[in-house]
Amino acid sequence: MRRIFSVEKVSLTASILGALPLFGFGFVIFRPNRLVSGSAVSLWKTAGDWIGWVIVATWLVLILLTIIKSQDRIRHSLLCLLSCALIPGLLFLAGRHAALVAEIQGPVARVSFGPGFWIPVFALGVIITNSFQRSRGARIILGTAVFLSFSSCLILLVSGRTDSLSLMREFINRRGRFFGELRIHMALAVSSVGIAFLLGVPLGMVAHRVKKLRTPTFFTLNTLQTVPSLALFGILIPVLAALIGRFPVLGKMGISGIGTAPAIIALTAYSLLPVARNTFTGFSTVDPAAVDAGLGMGMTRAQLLWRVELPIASPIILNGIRTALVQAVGLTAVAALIGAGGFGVFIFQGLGQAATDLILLGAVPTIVIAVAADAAMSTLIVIVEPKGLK
Amino acid sequence: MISLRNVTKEYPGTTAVDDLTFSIHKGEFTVLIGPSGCGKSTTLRLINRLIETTRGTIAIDDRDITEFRPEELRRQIGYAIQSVGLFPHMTVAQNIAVVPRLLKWDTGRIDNRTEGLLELFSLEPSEYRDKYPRQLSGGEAQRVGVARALAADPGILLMDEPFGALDPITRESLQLEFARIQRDLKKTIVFVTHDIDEAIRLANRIVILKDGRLVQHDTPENILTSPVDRFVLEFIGTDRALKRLSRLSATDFTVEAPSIAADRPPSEAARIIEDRRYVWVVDAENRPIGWLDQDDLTLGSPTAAEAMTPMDHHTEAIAADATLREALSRMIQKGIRGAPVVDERGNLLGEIRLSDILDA
Repeated sequence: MRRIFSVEKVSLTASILGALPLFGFGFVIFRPNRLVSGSAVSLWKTAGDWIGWVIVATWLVLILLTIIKSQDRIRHSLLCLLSCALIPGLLFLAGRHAALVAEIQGPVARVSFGPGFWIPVFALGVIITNSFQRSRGARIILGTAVFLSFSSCLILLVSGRTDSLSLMREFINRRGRFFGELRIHMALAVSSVGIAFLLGVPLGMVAHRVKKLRTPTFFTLNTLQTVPSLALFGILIPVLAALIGRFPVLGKMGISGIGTAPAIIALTAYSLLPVARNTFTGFSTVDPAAVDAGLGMGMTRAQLLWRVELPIASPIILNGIRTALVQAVGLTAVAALIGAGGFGVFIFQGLGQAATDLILLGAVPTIVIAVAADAAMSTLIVIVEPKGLK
Repeated sequence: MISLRNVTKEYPGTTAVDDLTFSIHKGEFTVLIGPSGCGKSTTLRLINRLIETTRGTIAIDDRDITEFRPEELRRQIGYAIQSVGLFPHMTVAQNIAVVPRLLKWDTGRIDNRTEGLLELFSLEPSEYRDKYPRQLSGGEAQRVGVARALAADPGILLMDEPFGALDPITRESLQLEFARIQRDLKKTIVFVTHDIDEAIRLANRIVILKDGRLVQHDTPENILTSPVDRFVLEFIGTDRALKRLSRLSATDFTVEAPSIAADRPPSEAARIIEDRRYVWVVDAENRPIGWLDQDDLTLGSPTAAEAMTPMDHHTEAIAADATLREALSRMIQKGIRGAPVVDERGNLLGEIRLSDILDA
């Protein structure tokens, strides 16, 4: 028996915890109209479709793979590939069910994703991440699989096959607005991290070089980080308003107490800590002997910085930017409260109307952007990291 | 030539270097030594202006070092330190090429130089060129560190306890290797250490410092035979007579010694033995394998090989490049009054006598 079984703990836990809601709780939620509360529809009801049975069978294979002994690389590759295939499968099934309901119940009826959809999708995400990290040999193939999985979901959403789902209905009603907010959301997050990069890297370098400034710098940045985002956005409104009252030229430049200016200021403030702290840490990892040797051999301070210190510190600095970017994408959602726009607009509208799917219309793309930014930065770090340090 | 004139370095509250005046001649290996805090490292770093002097002047070949831009000055002076400070993100070859690249040498010249230096330090270029510092042992890293300091062929080399962090065996082999390299390169070397044995082994001249002041500046021999004060005496230790022996080469005390071939009858050596009590027996390749004395002759054996008292030429013969200290230690260990001296192939060159060592 021992020779047959060998448990892969992470994937086993994820696949079991994902299977319970998939087979148990509501896969989708059915509501006669947008406002009334709904009733859960289990996968068994929707699985009358052959697609449903394929999903059930695939999931069982997934569980078997996590307990049957096999070569690590093969096991993790298969786990990753199957999970990549299951996600668009689940989306397709939910879309198909919604279309069926719409046909029978008419256009007012709503079908939303239930916990039986979200939890399994999250579990699959865990399995993909875990397997991807452990199957070093097959990263290019698995990376392609993840990309294909993501694009097939997009194609499904664009193709109209999922249009009857409540989330997509909300999207279709606000199509123009959605892309506008996407642009604003990205612009806010990227520009504030960009400013934080330009300010935070020199700040971290100064903190490293000048010992006296170290404690006050990080005390200030740490304190800023602990201010609740909602409060910081709120505080900036009167502060900026007072400044504009004092210096009307600011107002003429288009700056006001609400909107873009306070949003970027607050987001930059939050991004400063990870950028400056990681810059400081990065420079601290440079062996003082290397600095001594570099100067002793006749490098100028600038040559030492560009040829020795920055290459050694860059992976850690980029990691700080990664943290800042992921954090900023999330926090930008809150900036909608002070009129800066972004996906937060849908979230707060949805909260006001008690329309869960409208909240999701704001939340899901925010999560997707954050995860994508994280993956992109991780890839960049792998590329940039000097070979001698790995 | 490097000359320091009234050089003083003050820090708030302390004087690290106090009115130092001495000169280092071209091609000379000078060791700065003293207890920790004596200012030896500070003095070294004053020479390449990693630290600026408070008062006094330092001149290299009669030019005040403040006439140069610090970076320009440092590119003409090699610099090697105890913690090596190799750049971890660069390969061995790239590390060695740092100064040549700063001096804008062309690629071909840099590659040639790198290859030559790796060979000089017994690091096979094809194996080591593309390694990263974390893949090197401590000894290998320090070789690369010293090679890097020599990369642009500077006339002067500053070394701050370069072998201090190595284990004793690696340290000694690197010291010998470096002494061999220096014999050919004849660089002007300023070398900081707190290890008096290392100083005596390597130096042409030793500068002993205490509390930032010069106590004695002389050759190792003179310091060992006539220390100027109690401090120097204590610093060089009670075994200074032995230490002095490590400055002397066995070759210089080797005298001619008669030998007899192993297959000859012992009687042929009778007259020599009568004269000087014993004779070395050598094999067909002139390697000492034993000796004959009066007692061995009385047995009447047909050949010297059968009559002799055998010896192992690996353990009992003294290598020509050994120091007198090693020769003495070998003789005391074996309880013998004379030992054969052999060249690197094991051939008998002559012998060395205990009485000569004691007179040295």
